[in-house]
Amino acid sequence: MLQNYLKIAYRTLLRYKAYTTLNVLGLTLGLTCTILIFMMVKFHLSFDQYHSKADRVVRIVSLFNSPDGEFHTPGVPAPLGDAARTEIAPLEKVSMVYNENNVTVALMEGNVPTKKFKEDNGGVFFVEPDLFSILDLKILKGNVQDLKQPNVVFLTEKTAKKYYGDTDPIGKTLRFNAQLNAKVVGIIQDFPSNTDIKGSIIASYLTRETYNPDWVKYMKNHWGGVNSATQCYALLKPNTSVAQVQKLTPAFMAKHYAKAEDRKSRLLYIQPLADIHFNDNYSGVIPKRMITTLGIIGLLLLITACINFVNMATAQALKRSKEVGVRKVMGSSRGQLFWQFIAETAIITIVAGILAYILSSTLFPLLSNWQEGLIGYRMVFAELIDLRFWIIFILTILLVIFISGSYPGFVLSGFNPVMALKGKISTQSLGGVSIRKALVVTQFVITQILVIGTIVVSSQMNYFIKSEMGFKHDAILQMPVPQNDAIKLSTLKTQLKGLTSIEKVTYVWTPPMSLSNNTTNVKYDTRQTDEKFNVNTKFADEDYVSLYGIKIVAGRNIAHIDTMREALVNEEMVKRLGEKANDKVLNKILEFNGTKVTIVGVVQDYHVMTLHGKIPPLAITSSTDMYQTITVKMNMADAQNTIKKLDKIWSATFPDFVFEYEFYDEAIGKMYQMETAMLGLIQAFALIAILIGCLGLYGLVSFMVAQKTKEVGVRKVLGASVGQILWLFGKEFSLLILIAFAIAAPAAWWVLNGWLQDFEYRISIGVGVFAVAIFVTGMIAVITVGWQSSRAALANPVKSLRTE
Amino acid sequence: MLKITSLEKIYRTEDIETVALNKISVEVKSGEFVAIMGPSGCGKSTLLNIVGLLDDADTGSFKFNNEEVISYNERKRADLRKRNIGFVFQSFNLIDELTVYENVELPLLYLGIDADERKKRVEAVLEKVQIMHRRNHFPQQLSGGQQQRCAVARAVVNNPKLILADEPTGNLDSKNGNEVMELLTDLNSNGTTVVMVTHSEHDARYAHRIIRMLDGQVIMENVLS
Repeated sequence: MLQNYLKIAYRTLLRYKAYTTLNVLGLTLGLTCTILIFMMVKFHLSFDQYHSKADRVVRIVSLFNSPDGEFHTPGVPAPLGDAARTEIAPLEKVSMVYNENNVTVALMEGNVPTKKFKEDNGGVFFVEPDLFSILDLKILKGNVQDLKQPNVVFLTEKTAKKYYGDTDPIGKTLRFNAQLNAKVVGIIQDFPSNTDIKGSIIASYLTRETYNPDWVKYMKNHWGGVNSATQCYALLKPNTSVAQVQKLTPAFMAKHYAKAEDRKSRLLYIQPLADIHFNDNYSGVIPKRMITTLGIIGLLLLITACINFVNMATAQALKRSKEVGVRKVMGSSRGQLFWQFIAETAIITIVAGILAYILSSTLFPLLSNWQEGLIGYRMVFAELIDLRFWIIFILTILLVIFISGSYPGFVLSGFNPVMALKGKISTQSLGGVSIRKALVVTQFVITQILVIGTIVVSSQMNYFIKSEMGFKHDAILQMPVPQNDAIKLSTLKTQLKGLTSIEKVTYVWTPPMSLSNNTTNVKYDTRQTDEKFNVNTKFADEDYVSLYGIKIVAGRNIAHIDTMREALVNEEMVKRLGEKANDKVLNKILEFNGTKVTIVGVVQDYHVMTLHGKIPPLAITSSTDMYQTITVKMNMADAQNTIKKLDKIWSATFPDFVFEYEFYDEAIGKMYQMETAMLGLIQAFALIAILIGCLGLYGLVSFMVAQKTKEVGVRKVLGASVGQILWLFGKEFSLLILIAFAIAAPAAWWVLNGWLQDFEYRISIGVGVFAVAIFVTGMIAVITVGWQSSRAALANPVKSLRTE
Repeated sequence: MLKITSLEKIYRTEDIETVALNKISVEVKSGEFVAIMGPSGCGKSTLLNIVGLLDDADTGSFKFNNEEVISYNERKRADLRKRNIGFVFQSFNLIDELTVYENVELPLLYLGIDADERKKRVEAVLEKVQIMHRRNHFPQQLSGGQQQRCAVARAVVNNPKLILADEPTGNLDSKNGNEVMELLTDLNSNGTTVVMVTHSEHDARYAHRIIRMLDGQVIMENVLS
């Protein structure tokens, strides 16, 4: 019997090629997107879950409470590691780590550098030996105990291969940023792609002391400063919960902070390993809400594809009525007929499933490349295929077969055989139009929500990129400053200024808006205690304000001084200090990090962080030691030539380093990469959902046209115009679109308004967005319905009546 | 074999009630060949559908082999149908996606007969109706006569006790029509009961008895010698 079912299913599908193609295409598209989304979600959910003790691994991170809210950073004070190791009993192992990107690594032959490499993806990872007990880092050569010495490194297999090819790297010497020599003592297995805790080079934590003497001087034993790259990982003792350790942190902090206000404002948060990838408060790469959004879009796509299938199959049912009648006459039970139609659905779904698998494995590298370009993670399709994938895939296919096949199967098998044989199956016999109407409404709802979502996310993105940031960012090119030698820096600046295509040059720690921010507490004027808020500090020279077009609203610019002596503050700072007018702060002393500077001017507020965050109080001061970037405002007329000249001068100044540059506009764009990624995905998947919806509508309209052939003929004979005939079909869909809109508009508003709340600066959702959504769905209906119904309207009435 | 007593069937819409069968009583004995005649809308097809357990009656009694079947549920009707009744329709009602062989095989599949037995029976019946040579063709590749012979083959392949034929020659020319009637007569002479609805006096003469209907009632019965 099954063979008979499959045979007839196969022949029916071949016979109704258009129907089969539309159905297979719709399901294939839906399933392909679902697989792609599933893979992406699976990849992100798998982050760092491969460590054998993953459920016991935590990261200790910082949370600052201030009157203006909470401030989060994954960094901790440098001495925290040693203290936690001895004072927090439930911690079995503790390792401080420090990640330094953009390191120029030179391979040394004696004292001569032979090759230079820039390590910017993962960079140099300074770790304590205990990290090897916390995480599953596999040593291929060398001994973990070697990491107890300074100036030694392990290379990953990939880095070793990149540096030395097939030569054994053990015992070789590397030089970091032309200032520190380190010996290769081991090789570790490459990090998998699904980890946030990684580096190209693993250096002993003690190496940091020789690598960065200033860190020893200012940070190593100070509980005051926090750098986001200085982090602490720990392994909980077995049977210890995160909550238990969390409870111990206030007492621990109290021991190290004498002042009551510090104890109140500085908190530690024990972050489970599973939270690291998703918690954007602590530099998590992809917020959980995005994973959820993706999952929902995947589900909506699958639902759309199923609805599409049901609509088309039910519409097609009319053509199968005779067969149903005959089979019933021959003694088929309703159950047998039901399973026959399920078998047909199964064939379509399985074919679509196979095609979707092939298509998704073909498209996956594109998705992976795109994601890698945006957030730096490469996904490999084959690595994500496991038993779990197959179980979920097969269950999904079964679910789709059941959901999509059962309604048409139920309807078809319920035909009255006499009516079926006479070809008198009516719309009512197909379960009434109401269920299919409900399905079409659902499809319209999904489409409208996706259209509204796409518009709102795009508008918010454009608002980010195009809104006034308070400083100039075009035609600005930035290069690194690898060495802070005052004479070198001065010469370089003079040389660059000498180029005709360079208008301005300035040294900065980071540009006005950056993801790297330094905050500190300050003491103002004669006040005895620190202010209750943290201040964002920027280090820059006297050309900073003019290059970035930042307005000075009171006082004057800072003078050309190499050390911290004068400062500019922003208007927000003046407000926070409680001063009534900008000039009140002029010539007052500001003390931070133990250094006193004089406030000489006030600048207009500008955005320091991305538009996700509020403008914080800000202090700008000069300090040659802190400059990391040299920025030029250039004439873009002959940009390529200018860049060549910059390369020449820069490389002559820093011969041990690799020249690189970035336009500031591009750097700003990268700060919104998560939004860009989200937008891209929503746009792509929304488009596909709309396309699938169109296929479903097309199927439904074909059915309606077939149903109304006689009615159209009669109406035309009685004098109806083409327009009136079109409206016969159009009015039904207009009503469905309006009903869908009544559901979609408030739902979309609720979801998107919630999403927008994450942004300090955001657009408001206007009426226009909803108007566009209804217009787009209207147009979709007009195009899909219009073509089919105009064919009916233009047909010769004699022919249509004869058909009946 | 069939005993119908005071059977009533009314089609109802919101405003109109149409009496299709008006307390009709008919009896058909085993081995009989009965023709039902009457003008369009007299209820003859409705009667045939009820006899074939394809449709319900509103009131009355219908005994099939002395068993009351009027209250059977759909599953029991399907079961009784597939074991005892073969159908031949005016418009053949072959499944277009199946070959001649597969169409004829269909009732046997629903009876759960094994493949070897099915093959034997299908080939035998195809030989009998002389379309063995077209066994692998699809219905649309056959002439009307061949299609109806295929339909007859399908109706008799499970050796039913009763064949119900609804204007079996209505779509055929006289030559093919006669061939089909010969087939039915032949089956009847081998013991199969045949009930046939027809407009054709010529076809009706193949029967033992003609039941004439009007407005849902039997108005006359003629026994043919």
